[in-house]
Amino acid sequence: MSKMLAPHIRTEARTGRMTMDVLLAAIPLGLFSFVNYGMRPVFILLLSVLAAVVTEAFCCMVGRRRLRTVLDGSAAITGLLIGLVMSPMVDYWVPMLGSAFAIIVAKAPFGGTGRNVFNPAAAGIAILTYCFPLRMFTYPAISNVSNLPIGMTVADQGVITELSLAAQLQAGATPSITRLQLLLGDFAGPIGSTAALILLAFLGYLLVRRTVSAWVVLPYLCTCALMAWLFPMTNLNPSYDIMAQLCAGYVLFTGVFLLNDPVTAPRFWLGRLFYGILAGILVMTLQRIGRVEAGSCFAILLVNAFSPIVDRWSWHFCHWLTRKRRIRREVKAHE
Amino acid sequence: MSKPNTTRRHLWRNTHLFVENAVTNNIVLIQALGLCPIIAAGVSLQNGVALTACTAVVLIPLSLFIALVGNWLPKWLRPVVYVLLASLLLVATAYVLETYVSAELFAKLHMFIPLMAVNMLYMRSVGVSSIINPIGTVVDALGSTVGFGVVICSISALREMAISGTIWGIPLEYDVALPEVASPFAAFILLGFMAAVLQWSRQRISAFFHRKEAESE
Repeated sequence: MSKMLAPHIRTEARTGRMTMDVLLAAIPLGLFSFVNYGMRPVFILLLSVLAAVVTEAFCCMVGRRRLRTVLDGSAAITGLLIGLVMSPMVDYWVPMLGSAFAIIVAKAPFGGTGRNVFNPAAAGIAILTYCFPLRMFTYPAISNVSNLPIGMTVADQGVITELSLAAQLQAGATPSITRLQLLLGDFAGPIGSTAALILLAFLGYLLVRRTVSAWVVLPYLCTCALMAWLFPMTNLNPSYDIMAQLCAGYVLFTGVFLLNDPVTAPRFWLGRLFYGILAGILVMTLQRIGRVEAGSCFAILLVNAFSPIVDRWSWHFCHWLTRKRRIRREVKAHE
Repeated sequence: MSKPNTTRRHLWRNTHLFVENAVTNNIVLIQALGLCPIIAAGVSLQNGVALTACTAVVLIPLSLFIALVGNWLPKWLRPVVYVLLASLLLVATAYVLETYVSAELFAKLHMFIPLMAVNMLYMRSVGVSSIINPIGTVVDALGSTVGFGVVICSISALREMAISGTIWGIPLEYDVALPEVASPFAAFILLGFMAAVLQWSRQRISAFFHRKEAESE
């Protein structure tokens, strides 16, 4: 009898090196948004991380867990990811509320770091998307802005807003963004999920460092591209259409960050493959027909729920295959 | 004539029964019955109180009837009679609510009252057969009602405060409005936290009453 994968208790959490790798994302993406929008996005990221860490410390104290787990950086990652999908002109309390919600509701009650069933960052983003769609999806036009005001709110300070790429695609409009702009992230959108080149380079870095597994990301990206190719959203050249759909909303961001959380992703390679494919299908479907323009956080929550089952079934499937093959070989040898 | 010792024993036994139904074996948080009205209709304190009152009016007479008459009826007839009685009580409650209390409130709640009655019936048909004496049955029904009422009232009060910044229609002095809290997810999250707190303290409460009951005998 071989050992079975534990279905729900996942002790394999991020180690310190892995968390540091992911937290490094703050540097290129923070710099990118600093160049585009000034200090405001940097403050958003900092406050979001701060809120997550403080909430985690509070939850550890209430649950009488060791405070050392606060310092391992997983709470900071949650806060960072929530900050990265905010609009640059969002009020500061929005990402802080999301971080606090993520830790208090999606992480601490399940037993803290390494035991959460759902990705806390995805849960935080989901609640913000659901409760404040207007604040989340109002983006400043990137060409007219050099520095956003850094006060509490920018709602009535004459910042010119623009429809994001995802909203344009969903409305059936033809986007006027060139391919180069798509790659460089030179269009209105969230703080950290527009810069396709930076995200891809960072993904490469994480893959080389073996912080994320190619078994999740590559099937996910391939599925997304396939879905985009099968169901185009514009009348333009198919290759441009696929590029636009992959750069819109949180598609790339989801693949690089949300999907690769080692706690909620399956651990068996075949399970990871199925997980990536399932996530790709759901993300692209929600991107297309969802009520909001970027619904990939809901897709991630859904696939997280299926993750243990996918893991176990694929493991059993592989086990069954190898056993069948071994029996056949033995029978042949016997004959 | 009863000795003081017997009285004390009965008192502790009934208190235990009450606490068991209201807290440690809560109809909503542990048995997960009656979730639908809480999640869908528990958005203002008035709704919560009205639904609690309806529960009490249906549940207590029904339990008493089952305890007094139930054992005399042939087994095949019992479900029919129980359902008929519950529906009768329900129709009367609904009529009173609509005519004398508030037609507006009834319009909001008329979907959920039958649903609740079904929950109660289910619970009664499972639980009551073991309790013979009428006082125990009434205490049991009262405990269930209080258990349901506390949960639905606290959840609907919290949600009303979040949705419109009022409680029982009286405005509170703050300026936060989160209309999204009216959707089911907020109620599920609140219920989850309440159930977690209950699970955490349940064992201790139960042990305390077991000990008291044993001491009094």
